[in-house]
Amino acid sequence: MGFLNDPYHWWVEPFTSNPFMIRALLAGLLTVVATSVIGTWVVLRGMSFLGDALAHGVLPGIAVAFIAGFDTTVGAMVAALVMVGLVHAVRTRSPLPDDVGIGLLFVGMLSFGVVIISSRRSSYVGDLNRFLFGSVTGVDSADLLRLTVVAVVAVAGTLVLYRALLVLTFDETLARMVGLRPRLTHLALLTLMALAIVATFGVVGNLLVIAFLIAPPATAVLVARRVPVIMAVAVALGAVSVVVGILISFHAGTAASATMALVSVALFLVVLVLRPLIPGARALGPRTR
Amino acid sequence: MPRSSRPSGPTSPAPSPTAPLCRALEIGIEFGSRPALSGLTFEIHPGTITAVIGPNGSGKTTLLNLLAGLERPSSGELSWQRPHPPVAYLTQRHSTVRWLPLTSAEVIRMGRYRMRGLLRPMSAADRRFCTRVAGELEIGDLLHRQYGNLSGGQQQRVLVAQMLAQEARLILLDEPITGLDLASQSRIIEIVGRQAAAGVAAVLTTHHLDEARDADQVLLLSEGRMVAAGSPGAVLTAANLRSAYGDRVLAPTTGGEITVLDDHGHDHGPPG
Repeated sequence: MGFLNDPYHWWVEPFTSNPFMIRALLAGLLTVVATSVIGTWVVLRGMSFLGDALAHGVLPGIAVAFIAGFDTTVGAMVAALVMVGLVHAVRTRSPLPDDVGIGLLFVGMLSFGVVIISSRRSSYVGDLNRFLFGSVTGVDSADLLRLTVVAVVAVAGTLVLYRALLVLTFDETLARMVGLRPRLTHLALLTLMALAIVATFGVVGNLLVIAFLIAPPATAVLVARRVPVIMAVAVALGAVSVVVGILISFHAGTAASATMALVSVALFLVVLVLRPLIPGARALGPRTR
Repeated sequence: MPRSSRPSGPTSPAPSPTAPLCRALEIGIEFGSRPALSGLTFEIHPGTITAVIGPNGSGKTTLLNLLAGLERPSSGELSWQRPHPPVAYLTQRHSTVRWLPLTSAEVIRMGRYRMRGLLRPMSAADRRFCTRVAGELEIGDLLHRQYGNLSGGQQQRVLVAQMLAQEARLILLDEPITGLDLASQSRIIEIVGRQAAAGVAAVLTTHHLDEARDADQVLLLSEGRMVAAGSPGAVLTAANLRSAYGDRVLAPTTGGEITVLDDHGHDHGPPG
């Protein structure tokens, strides 16, 4: 119960006496800004599964780049584009519902990535671990700079596209009629989503980035009545998850990214249960159909 | 009241009040190899109401999609007044994303995005305009309610207000009153009439012959072809209706009104 009876040593001291903890905190917070504002639209547009697939689908690109010795971020971006293109191709060529194609490609790309990495037997588990689960405590100043740029691009992008995304989510035909280019908007959102995933996988890992993309906005949707408020609440909830997650990880010796992800999902469940007691929580009831 | 008067540039002659907004000459469209519409010829004039009627699957919605510019005719010619007049389209009730948090005021304001684009801020005049159209549809008290929580009739009124907020010169309405409460029905019909009186052209699809009788022009479709086009009196004859609807027409035996037995087809969401 250190966080209650010795709050300074539990909450503050880990950051003041460990430089890597400050960098981890900054990296986590920048990640949360980028993923929460973009994730808000991913959640509202019902693209969570595609986001999940995209996050895991970049693994082969990372693996090839890693083995060939060039920047893994570039490899991940290329793989993300391939994944988006494949999803589109399967959607237009097969009569199956979207989620079948997305699920197949997602597991196909993930296993392809694992196969590539495992072909280099020496350090297979360590490398795979790092790609899948990230290492928030191992970020350097170059990582922080990259995350800052991506956070700024994410916020600017969602501000510029706000009306286009709102109308597209409401009614695609209306978006066409008022000249807000629905297909271009969708493509821009996919690009932003890929950017957030690719830029943050080194911090939070391939398997866990989806928690940062989905959990804070989903929690915010439970309590907020307007989209800009959802974004702000999501960033705040994500920040809480990062701080609490890092500290638990520090004190309990658990994996940092997984602990942060776990806290963000736990927050969602807590808010879901407590929602009837929260004054001013959204009047929309549970889905009835 | 002058029905249509607008300034025009030196290069384009001023459209006369009676010049059509849009002229369709033998237009048709195919989906795959199957013709959905073929050989339709008609004109849409400013300040008039055109009712499009016909059985389900006769191509009514496809015709509206063509006029909205969502589809292009694969044959014939669809020519427009220049510059192309702004067109607003009220589609059949779409499946609203219920978890999308939006007030009715925000939904109506989306209509102004047509003029404001991505970034230009809403002016005080924009807000006043939205408040005014909400007043016309008697939904002023719903503006701060969540759109997803409104009844079907209330949602449709909000969407009509959104359409008016676009200040279009041609409004397209796909079965705007089917399945609504009577108060919403009469309110929406009245608004369409008022728009026409102000010089706007309206094209609506309907299953209600009464609604078609009040239009200036009726287009009667069957299986993608025009059975008849013209004034309601000329089009809504027992012979024409029987040709379009087959056995589902109950012809008047003693001078009463003609009735068409047609399913009102489409799901319009949960009732109020």
